[in-house]
Amino acid sequence: MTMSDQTEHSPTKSSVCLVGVGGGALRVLDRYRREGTGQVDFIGFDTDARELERYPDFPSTRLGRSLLRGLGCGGDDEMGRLAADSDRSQISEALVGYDLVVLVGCLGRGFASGALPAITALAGETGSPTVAIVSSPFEFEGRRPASVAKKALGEIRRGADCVIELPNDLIFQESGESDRADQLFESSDEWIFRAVSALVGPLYRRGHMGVDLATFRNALKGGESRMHFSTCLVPLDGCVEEAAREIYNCPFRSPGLERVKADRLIVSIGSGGGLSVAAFSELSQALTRLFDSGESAVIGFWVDESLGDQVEVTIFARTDLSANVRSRLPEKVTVHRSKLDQKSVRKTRDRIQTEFDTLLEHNERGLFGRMNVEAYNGVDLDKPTFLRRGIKISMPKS
Amino acid sequence: MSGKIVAAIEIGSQDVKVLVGEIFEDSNLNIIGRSQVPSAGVAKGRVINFRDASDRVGEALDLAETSAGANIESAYLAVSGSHLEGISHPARTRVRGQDNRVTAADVERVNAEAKGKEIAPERLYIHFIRNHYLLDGRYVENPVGLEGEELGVTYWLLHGNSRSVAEHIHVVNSQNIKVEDVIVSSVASACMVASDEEKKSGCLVIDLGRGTTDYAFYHRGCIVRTGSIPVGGEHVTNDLSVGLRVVRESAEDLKIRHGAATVLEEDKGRTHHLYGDLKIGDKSLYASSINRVIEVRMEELFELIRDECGANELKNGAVNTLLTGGGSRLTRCTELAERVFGVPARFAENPDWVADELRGAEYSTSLGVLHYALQGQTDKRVTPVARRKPEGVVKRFSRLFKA
Repeated sequence: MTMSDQTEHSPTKSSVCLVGVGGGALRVLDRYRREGTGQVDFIGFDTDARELERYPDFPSTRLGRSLLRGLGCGGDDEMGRLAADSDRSQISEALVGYDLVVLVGCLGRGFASGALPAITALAGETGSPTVAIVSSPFEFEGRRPASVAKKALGEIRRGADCVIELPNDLIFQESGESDRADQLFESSDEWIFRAVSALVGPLYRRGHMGVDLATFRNALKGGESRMHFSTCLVPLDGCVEEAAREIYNCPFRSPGLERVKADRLIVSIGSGGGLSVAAFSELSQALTRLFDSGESAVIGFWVDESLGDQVEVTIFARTDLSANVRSRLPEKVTVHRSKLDQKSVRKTRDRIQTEFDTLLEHNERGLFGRMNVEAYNGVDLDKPTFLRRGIKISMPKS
Repeated sequence: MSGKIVAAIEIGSQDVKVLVGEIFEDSNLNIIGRSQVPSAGVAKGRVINFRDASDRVGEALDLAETSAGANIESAYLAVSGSHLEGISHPARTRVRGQDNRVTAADVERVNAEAKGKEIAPERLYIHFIRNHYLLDGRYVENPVGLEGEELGVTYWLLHGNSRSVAEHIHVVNSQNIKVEDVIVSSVASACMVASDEEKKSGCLVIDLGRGTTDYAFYHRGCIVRTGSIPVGGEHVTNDLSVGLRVVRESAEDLKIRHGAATVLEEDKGRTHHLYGDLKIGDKSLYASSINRVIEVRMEELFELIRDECGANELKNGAVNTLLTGGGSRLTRCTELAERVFGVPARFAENPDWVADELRGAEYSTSLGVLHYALQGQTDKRVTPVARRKPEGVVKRFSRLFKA
């Protein structure tokens, strides 16, 4: 296949589309094509003609032909943005009609940082749920890539339903001093690949308790929320403790969150066939407890013999941030007939108030919650002083 | 009626106040009407809903006209908000006059240089506030005729975001009232509540509003610094509402009935009831908790002002602190100010010659604006060199808006 004629889909179109933006992402796509599961459509985007020629096995589109004449962006994210803007119609045409669009990009070095926000926005406009998997640059790359990536990430968050970020620095911190440099970069690619396969794989594997696309789409729907993604591969022996620890240490987990309360949780457990009933039940309970969401968890289980003696666990959690959270399905309340005749039935336990509710970011500002934050010398003065200074206000026990 | 009818309009977050004055013989001012209606569409000195703001201003103007029994021809407008900034800009020049005596031309030259600082295109000068002249390093009130080699002067240049200022003017213009000039609230209220002696010996005037707090720092009779902090009484209410988990109305009520700016020893263990009716929904709250929430907020506010003015400058320059505006009615507010600023503090109201019903601190800004309007009238007759206003207030800049 040549790169130019491949913006149309084949008649047997898949429901999931994996989009790679930039060189790093194309590598991951190529690997997924070789090693991954399921019938997934691939689309690659880049400005560099030579880079695209390296991956002749999946369709790709060269952006910004008139602008860059087949060269790379040279580290200029603005160029990447312009290139994506110049071929908007081509991009949306390629992305329309999927049930899930997964975008992959390595931020910080030019094209991906500029083009990915635009492509994400276009994918969002087509109405399909979008998930962006991005890596942010290493600290040693300098301050500019970091600031470029930060800006791009902010824009991507606005466009995508879910953003999974891999801070490369975490991988750097975990690597040993004597590790080879190429190992470091490979391990970054490896994690991105694992994120993609952990996300897309379970949708296609034949499972006993399937996590299908509809479940996944449901989890993505809704108002303002925060997504948590975490995956790990642990040995079968002692998998419960190991998985709980590894899920916690996964580099994709949003940093700075000690404990997450998930309003919606998808746990996908894959095994090579050796997982016992006791271990499975223990593992699923431990994981739902970890995310404090016994009632709203969906547990998926699938078997893939290639895993051997290992267990793969993937967590996909969603925490609603909007204040008026309503449970999707109202809880069934047993009411005596005589009570039903009364005017209204009082809802029991509409929502469990947790200790941390008032400390959510948008609640802290109280009446000013909805107003723009106008920092005064870098301090948000609308936020109560006692909260900023960490002063405890005691209340009488009623 | 023979005099010119002018109005002072203050569009605050809490309410819109209009004072109507009659200026006769170009030097006397009679206040003949006033009105006050709750405000809407304005927050922290900014117009956030033009329609609401305009309606309320129209309502206030109608009421004021009825109460004055006269038609308002033109108005002076008070502006506030954190978009206002000031720069201290010094300038120096060689005395060119014969025998090293300072001439009017020298003074004009140094003034022009001190005022000639360029600012960003979206900013607009509102006041040029002159401080004392320095003749060879010593303070002089009026250098003309004195002997010296080098004449220096420092100006406090107050500038604001032209769009924010224009929005306020637009609100008044939409009611078919011409805005003669705009005056920064802190300058207007400060020149009203501080006595001449206090201005001479140095004082800090703090106007605690609902959405913003303005301050002006007098040193040797001149305003050397002004500022506006986007924190006001509403923030205290909000802190109480978040900290004690009560609704805004209850928090406001608690603040007024029981709130104080410092925590006393006897507050510990004492409780107040939220409503006091002991019915369902009423709950008891520690007095120490209420006051602690208020104390940290007010302390932070005063500390911000202290840091902006410079703690040392305040200690050396200010003899006392004057608190005005609605927020200053908080119990023990002056004690807290004394603790933070390290100088005596008092609650300031308008001077004795003001009618009783306008004596309250909340009218100080409007009165200051009218006072300023009066000066605008009298100024025309004095020569530029002799034009030194006792309060240190000001050069007009109204022509910028008349266009």
